[in-house]
Amino acid sequence: MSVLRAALLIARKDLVVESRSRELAYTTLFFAVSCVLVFAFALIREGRALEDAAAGILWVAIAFSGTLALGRAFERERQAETLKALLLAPIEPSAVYLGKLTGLLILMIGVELIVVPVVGLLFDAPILRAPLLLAALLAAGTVGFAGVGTLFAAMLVRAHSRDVLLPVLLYPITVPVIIAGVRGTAAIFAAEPNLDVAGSWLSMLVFFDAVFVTLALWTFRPVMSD
Amino acid sequence: MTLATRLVPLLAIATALMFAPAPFMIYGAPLESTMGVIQKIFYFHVPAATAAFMGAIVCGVASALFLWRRNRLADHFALSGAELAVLFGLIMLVTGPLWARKAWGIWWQWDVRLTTALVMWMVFVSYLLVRRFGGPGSEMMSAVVGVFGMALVPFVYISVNFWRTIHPTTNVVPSLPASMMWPFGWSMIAFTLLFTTLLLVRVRLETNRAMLEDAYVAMED
Amino acid sequence: MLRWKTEKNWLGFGLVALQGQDGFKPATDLGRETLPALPLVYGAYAFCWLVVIGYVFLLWRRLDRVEKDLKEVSGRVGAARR
Repeated sequence: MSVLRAALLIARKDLVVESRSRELAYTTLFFAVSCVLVFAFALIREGRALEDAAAGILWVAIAFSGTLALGRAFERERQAETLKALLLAPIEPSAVYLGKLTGLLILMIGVELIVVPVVGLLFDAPILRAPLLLAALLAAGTVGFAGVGTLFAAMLVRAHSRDVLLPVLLYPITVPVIIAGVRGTAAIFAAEPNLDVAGSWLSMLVFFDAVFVTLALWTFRPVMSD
Repeated sequence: MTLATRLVPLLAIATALMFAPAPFMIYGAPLESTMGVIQKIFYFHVPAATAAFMGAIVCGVASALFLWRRNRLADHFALSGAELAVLFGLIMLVTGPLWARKAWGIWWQWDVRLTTALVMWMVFVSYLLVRRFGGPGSEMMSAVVGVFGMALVPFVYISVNFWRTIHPTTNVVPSLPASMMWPFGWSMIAFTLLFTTLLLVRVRLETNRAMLEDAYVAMED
Repeated sequence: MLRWKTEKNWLGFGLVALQGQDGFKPATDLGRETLPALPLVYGAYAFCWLVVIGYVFLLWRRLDRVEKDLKEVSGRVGAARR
């Protein structure tokens, strides 16, 4: 079986499991919206949010809810030792990584489809000013975040205190994703938008994705084949 | 390791001999024209930063070797490198703001070098945290952190580079007058020696610990 | 001069182009210090020495303990083999 076909099968399996309970989708979405509200209260002065706050809040909500989804998605695989079973299957280990990554990406993008309008509504952010560029920034940032996160969550499945270690490892390493995402989105949302700047942040995100997903594919086999 | 074991006392003596006159040399160096006394922090700040980055490089390269070759000694080097990166990074991150308070008027600035250094330091702290709390198999997980940490540096650097920097550039070092170059070069060598000594001792500690674990396992059999 | 520049920067990235200093020059005129610098310098050096000495001490203690244990355990393993 080719790597891509196996990866798609694993992603489909995850989505079928998820569609039965919808546990991850509901909890992650609610958590992301709560994040937005908490940060909104923290950053509102005299009834108005601080300038540039919308971009920051959006990305913090994505990063936090993404961490939650990553932890839970692999907790599910741990309980019945199904991750081990997947790795024993006669497929490339990288297919397991790609499959889990695809499932998580679909989930996170679904959450973003709701969180972005919420941020636009609450902060009066012009989300329709450059919809394609914003979508590309969000997609590239999510791939970078989930690409690193899937590898770390998969390897931490066997670790003690994995709930704490996942964010501890993930946040320092995804700092460039957060910086580029926030800066790029802020350039779109600003009173004087600068789409060229947003574009250069997007190219940096794409570059980050290429390097880190390659590294993750490369390290997944040695780390998981213990 | 026997060669390294024999080298350690020699290195330790050399390090001590280098460090003993360093404070006097730094005291004797001329004051800088715009910054005055505070510039003297530079003589320890820059060598500490260099040692921290040497630790980071040792950790990254050794982690990669351990991941793909499963070499146990490489793992011991990676852990030791990470620990020293955190140690010297701490010196760098504390002496830097003390200097900045006087030279810039603020403790911290979200500048390229400062941010990159801070993120790097956090990556190696997280390396040590996984190592300590990860349980069995944590060597592999921390090795991934080491490799990713090394790949991260250029990205953090580029992403913050859009903001302007006020940190003195690396051009400072080659342009130093002889009266300042001497104490600086001296501390650089002293710190490099200190780093090498500590690295070898720390690797020996880790190797011994691994041997002890093997011996316990052998006893149980 | 430098302080004026940094204040601009600190207040919100003013338009003044700030650059990293390109070289250090020995001073010729002195005696216009405002914030006392010496405590900061002494603090920095004291911190360096404390951290390094503390680490060396911890390393030495850990190494001592592990080597003692190792000697004892390898002695026992050797005795069991005989």
